[in-house]
Amino acid sequence: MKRKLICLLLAFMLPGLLLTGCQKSQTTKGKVSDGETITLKYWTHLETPWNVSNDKLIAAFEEEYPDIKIEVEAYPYDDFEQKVQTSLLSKSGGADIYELWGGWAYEFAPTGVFSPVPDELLNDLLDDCYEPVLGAFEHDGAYYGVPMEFNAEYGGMLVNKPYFDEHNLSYPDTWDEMISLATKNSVSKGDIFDMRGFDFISFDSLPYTWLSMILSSGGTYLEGDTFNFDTPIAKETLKKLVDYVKVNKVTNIEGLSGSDIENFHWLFLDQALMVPRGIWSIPVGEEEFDITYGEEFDYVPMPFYGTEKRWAAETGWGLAVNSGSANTEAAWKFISFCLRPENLVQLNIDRGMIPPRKSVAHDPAYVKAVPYSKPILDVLDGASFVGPINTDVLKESICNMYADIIQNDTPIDAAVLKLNQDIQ
Amino acid sequence: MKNNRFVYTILTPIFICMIVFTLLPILIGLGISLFDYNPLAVSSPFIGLENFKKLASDGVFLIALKNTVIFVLVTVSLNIVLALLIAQAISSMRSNRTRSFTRMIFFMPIVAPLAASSLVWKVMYANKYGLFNNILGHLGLPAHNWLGDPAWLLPSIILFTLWADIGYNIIIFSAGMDGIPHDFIEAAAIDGAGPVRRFFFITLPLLGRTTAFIVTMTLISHFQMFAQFEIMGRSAGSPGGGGPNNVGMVLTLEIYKEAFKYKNMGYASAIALVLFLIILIVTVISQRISRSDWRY
Amino acid sequence: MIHRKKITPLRIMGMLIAAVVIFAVVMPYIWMLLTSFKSTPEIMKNPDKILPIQWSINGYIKVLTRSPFFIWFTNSLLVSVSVTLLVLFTSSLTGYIFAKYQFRLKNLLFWLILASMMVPFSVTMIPNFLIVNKLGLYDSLAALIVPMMVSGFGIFLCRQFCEDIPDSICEAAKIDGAGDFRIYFTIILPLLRPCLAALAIFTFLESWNDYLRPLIMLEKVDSMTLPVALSFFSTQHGNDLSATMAAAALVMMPVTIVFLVFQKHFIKGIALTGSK
Repeated sequence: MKRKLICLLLAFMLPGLLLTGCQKSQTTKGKVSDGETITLKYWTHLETPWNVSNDKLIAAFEEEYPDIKIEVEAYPYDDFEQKVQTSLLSKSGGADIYELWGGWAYEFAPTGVFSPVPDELLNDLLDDCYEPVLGAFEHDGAYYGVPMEFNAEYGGMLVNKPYFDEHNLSYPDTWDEMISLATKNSVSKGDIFDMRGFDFISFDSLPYTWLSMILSSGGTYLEGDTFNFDTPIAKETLKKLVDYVKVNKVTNIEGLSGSDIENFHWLFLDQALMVPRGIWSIPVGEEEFDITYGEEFDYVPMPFYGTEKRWAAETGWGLAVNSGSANTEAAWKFISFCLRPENLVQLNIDRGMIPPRKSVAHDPAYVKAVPYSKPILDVLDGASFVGPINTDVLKESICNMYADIIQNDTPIDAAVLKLNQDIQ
Repeated sequence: MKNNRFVYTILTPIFICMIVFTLLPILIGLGISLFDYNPLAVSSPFIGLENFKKLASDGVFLIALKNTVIFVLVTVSLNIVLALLIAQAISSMRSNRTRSFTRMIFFMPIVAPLAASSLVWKVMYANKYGLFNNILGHLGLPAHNWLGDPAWLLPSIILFTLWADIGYNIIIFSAGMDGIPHDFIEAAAIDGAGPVRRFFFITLPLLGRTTAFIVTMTLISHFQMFAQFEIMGRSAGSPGGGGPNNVGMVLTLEIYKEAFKYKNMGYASAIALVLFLIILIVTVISQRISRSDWRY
Repeated sequence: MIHRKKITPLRIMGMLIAAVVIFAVVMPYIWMLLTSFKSTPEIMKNPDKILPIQWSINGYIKVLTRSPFFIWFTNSLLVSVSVTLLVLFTSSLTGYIFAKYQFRLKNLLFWLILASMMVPFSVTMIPNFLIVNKLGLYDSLAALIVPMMVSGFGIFLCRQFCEDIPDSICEAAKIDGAGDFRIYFTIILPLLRPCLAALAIFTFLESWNDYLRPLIMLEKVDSMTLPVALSFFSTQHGNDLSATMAAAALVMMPVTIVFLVFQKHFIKGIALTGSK
């Protein structure tokens, strides 16, 4: 009996012990070695063009600040979020500077693991940044990270240029034209597609297509800070998207299920006609599929559904500083350096990303170096912040709902109600 | 023999290690499951049995529970039946060489990490460029979206798991069959029993102890399968694994996802305890049922 | 055999079925090797060609030059070898003690060992993570070695084998003045060799193939072991199939070759554990 009691006691006490232990063991990161050189640890995700541009930037920075050294550690994307979370949670090890996806930052900001953006830098950014790029870094009026890009998954689309040329087709100007073109040119046998007319099915494309359709037809899915998809417009647009797969058969849901291949890969393999995707996909195609922009494919404005040119965008890649770091000041020095317009422009050119700062996005040097960015640059002002949520949760919930409708014939009314519940 | 000093100097560190990493975690897990424990959160309040109550209404947990049970029951029974048949087939091979060659082939997948072979099979299962759909296409049969279609995901993973894991049991059954004295089989043959009857009335009963061991070990290991569900169920649309809309979720993967992706360690601990209870019950039952007195 | 079987049609059919089944089992290996010599676009565009149209070793080059493959390999080897050696030592010593010594609480302690065999890692992964973190082992190879040092299964197996060793041998040695360790080293260990060989194979494979534990316990790219490191080639936007297949081949083939060379010992070892 006594032994049982002790066991129970232990069971109750241990989590408490662990908790207090975890909070106490907040160790300091980065060492101030012999008062001279500071070494900052910088974690990023692994993607060749990114890492190359980072190295260039770091070299320039270290030249300007010889007393600061930056050590980069790059992780495969699949593990990166996990690693960042785990390191912030274990509060030992970890980095001084984190590259962060805005969608995750949203959950970290309230926990105090990040150091707030210094006022000077913040004021500079507030005036010059688009709304979506700062959205997720804000918490209770303070900002915990800075954007390095404008993540646009909507507004432009990849098109299969040779196919359009061969069949004497012109790029669509209206949504309906786009859908009818897609329907006519899709080729499939059962679940196997040889040509996907309009492949909007991917973890990113599907949610952003839907959210943007809601916005551009004059609706909204946000009530204050709460998401609500139980509205006529949301259901009507969702019905359209379901029909595109079920009736028009312009693609299937393979991109959500069991496949490592995404919609833009099909286009690069000459097995899709139109694919809504961000411009970051272009360098991927050129490098991995050995094809050329302007020849095997093109990037054109995507027609808006409805009457307004409005669309949803999330806070993309940004940088944040570990609040437990011993060298937050040096870390912010580095980040300010990255955000200098002349550096930011180069960074966005090298990575093929849309710049987060208005001044940089319309810099002629940028427009010239990244010509395919034009369709998106033209509609940047119509973008609004997706909403206060971990976007991975939002996207996963929307994709799950969509897969559920297609696979199980779940009624749309029931599906949106469940979605509302899932993302609360 | 007796030598307490020797015994206790050795056993103390051994048991400390065992307690810290195996037995203590159970108690800690039990404790954590009563808290809303999220290591990132500012506070982790005691919530009693709330986590366990939440389980009943958590759709993903229920899917995971169902899938785990189906997966284990189907895979383990297929595994045992096939292993017995194959072992019997091997023991009826004439030359020693073919016998050991066949055993070797079936055992080969065991030495490959599940994580690696899952990746290979994932490409074999791929819709457009995979091996299986290509073979079906050449045979004029309709293709399937093996890992994307909820109806096919679990069967696909079961087939893979059989391939990857059956070798152990074949070897052990095969060794068990080799251990059966020849006189038994020959006597039966002289009495006019055919191969099928010999298998059911002589070989199978004599393998009772081996079967009990195999059933228990296979059950325990299959309840813990993780890599194939994470890897094969992972796609752009379900980055954490578990298949589209979680149709391929199992308990191990859900524990991992809840604990390390969503940081709901309290809730994940509750799921872990459920898994532990299931494993415990199933093992005890399987031991009871298959306890057999056949000896030779 | 009482009578030599003739070659009957039934037997030929059996052989045919056997051949087909054996081919099906080996198929994934062949497919993996052939695919690893194709380029990624070729894999996706020409699925009906089994042989590469254009043999390419770019996948392998990418794996070996663009990723720290050798570091991963060394990590895996280091972890698996240390775990195996440690488990052999702790299991044989503890098994010997439980088989040959009398002491208080013996039954309770042995019951604890049996109970620990029933506790799967998937159930204790969260507390294990917290404990490893607390001990400061997080993101080090020690996080994969220290918790695995003692194996309930190993102790159980060794005890079973030790019990087969006659007590009289140990007692005779004791009378001759041999110490406890001496008996262990000179008498027990050599007699346990077949059992230890089997245990070594089990432990090594378990550790080498482990996926969940390193996934939780490791963080840096350079501290990863091979099974977890495989995800290195599937990036955010898609999957380099050619490199993935090459990496899978590089991970699977060394152990497979070792196995093919020592297959007799492997299979004997596995069969041995089943008989206990």
